Amino acid sequence: MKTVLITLLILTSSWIVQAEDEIKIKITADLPYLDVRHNGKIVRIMRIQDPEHRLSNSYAKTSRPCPPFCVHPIKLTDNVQTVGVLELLDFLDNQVKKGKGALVDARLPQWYEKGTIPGSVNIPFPILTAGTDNPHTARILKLLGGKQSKDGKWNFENARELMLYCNGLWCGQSTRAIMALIKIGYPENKLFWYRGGMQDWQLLGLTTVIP
Amino acid sequence: MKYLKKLLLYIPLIWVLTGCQQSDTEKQSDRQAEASQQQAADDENKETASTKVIPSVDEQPDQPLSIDEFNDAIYEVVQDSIQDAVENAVEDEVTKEEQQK
Repeated sequence: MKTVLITLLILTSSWIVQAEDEIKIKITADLPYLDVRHNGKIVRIMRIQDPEHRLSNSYAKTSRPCPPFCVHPIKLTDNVQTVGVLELLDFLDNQVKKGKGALVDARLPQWYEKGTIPGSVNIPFPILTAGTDNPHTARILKLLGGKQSKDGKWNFENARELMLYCNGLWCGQSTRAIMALIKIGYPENKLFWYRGGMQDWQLLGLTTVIP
Repeated sequence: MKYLKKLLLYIPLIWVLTGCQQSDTEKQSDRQAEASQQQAADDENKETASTKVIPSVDEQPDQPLSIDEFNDAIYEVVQDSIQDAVENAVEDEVTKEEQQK
């Protein structure tokens, strides 16, 4: 019995080591993948392991009419931090896991349904731009940790940190959501902008999920 | 000379005793001051407590939601807003059609 158990243990551990060794295209040298929760399941974020893989979907497209699809500056406001993929993964692994933050896909549901970043939640930008008089906006703000006093003022002192994104450098949906949140009074230092969005994510061959 | 010797002996003794008595008096007055300060602070606290507004149940922090609960709750709001938007759009269309008639 003892021998069987030891053999099983050795086989399992060697299988795990082998599985990790099989990841040739890692995210960073020290980070082969990241497991996150999405729709009640664990999803592994990793890069596509085929070195010949090319994008063939709508994110392979380079040119869209501007306006409205114009290139955004690197900095949206003085205090909203612009981030990249590694900061996003760190955010998922820490703030989101601990319930202190939310990764927000600010696109319209029809975009979100085509595929999104695992661990994200869809808050379409029109809900945030509708203003606090809108009951849905108020419900969302409350879920994010905002508190409304009797005089109608919002307090976001204990609200979650939010990292927002949309389709890419040329997409205005996340920027509109961020500007709306700032207008409502959401502290800028609790807002982060993944400017590269879905295009940047998919250019690196990172996992997407269809909700 | 005899008295002088006695005097020299007693002077430090008297000085020490007087000094101790003085410091005792100081300590006592310090204690009294502390007590009155404490009393004032207690009174102030009592006053603040009696005027303090206790937040209603709604204003008190909610239990933190788990990731799944939070995502489900957000999803529900988004679905409600979509439903409302659809209903409003249909209503707008009906109104437009009626106006055209």
